[in-house]
Amino acid sequence: MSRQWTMVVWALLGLGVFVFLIATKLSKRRPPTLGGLVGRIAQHPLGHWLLVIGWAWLGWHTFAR
Amino acid sequence: MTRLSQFVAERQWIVVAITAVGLAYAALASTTRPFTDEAYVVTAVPLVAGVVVVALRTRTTRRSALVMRSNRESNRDTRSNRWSLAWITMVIVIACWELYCYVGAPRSEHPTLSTLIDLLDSTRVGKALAFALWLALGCYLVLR
Repeated sequence: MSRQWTMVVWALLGLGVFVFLIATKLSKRRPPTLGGLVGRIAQHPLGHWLLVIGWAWLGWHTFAR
Repeated sequence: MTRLSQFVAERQWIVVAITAVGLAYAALASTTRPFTDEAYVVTAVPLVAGVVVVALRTRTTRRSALVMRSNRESNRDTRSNRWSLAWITMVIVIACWELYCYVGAPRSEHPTLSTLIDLLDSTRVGKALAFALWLALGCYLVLR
C-alpha cells in the first residue's frame, strides 16, 4: 500500500472521529460524548490513572522521546 | 459584589493566568529538541506535577467515591453503553491501523501517528501549539 493510501485511511479515521464527535453532540438521544466517556472512565481510580499515564506517555513520546 | 460572584471573578482571572502561563511554557518548550536534557526537563515538569496532583486527589476522593458508587451503578443506561461501545470500537480500529503502519516498512510508505505528529512538530509554531494542546489535555484529565 502506498503512502497516499495510508494517508487517505488516516484522513478517513480522523473524519470518522470528527463525525462521531458532532453526532454525539447534536443527537437528541443524548449519547455519551467523548468527554462523557472519558469522564466515565475517570470515575474509577484505575481508569483515571490509565488516562493520566496515557497522557504522560503521549507527551514524553512526542516531545522528549 | 457577593462572595460567590467575587469568587467566580477571581477564578476567571486564575483561569486566564493559568492559560497565559501554559502558552508561555508551550512557547518555551517549542525551543527544545527531542533527545536533549532541555526537552526532558521541560516535558517532565508538567508530567510530574500531573502525577502528583492525581495522587493527592485520589487519596482525598477515595472515601467519597465509595459512597457514590452505588448511585452511579443505578443510573447506568443500555443506550449509553452502546454508544460507549461505538467509541471504544473506533479507538480499537485506530489502534489496529497504527499497529499495521508501525510494523509496515518502509516508514515513509506507512506513516504512523507519531510520524504525522512529527510533521506538526517540525515548525516552532506547530510544536508550541501541540505542546499547549497536550498541557490542556493534561489539565482536563488530571482535574476530572
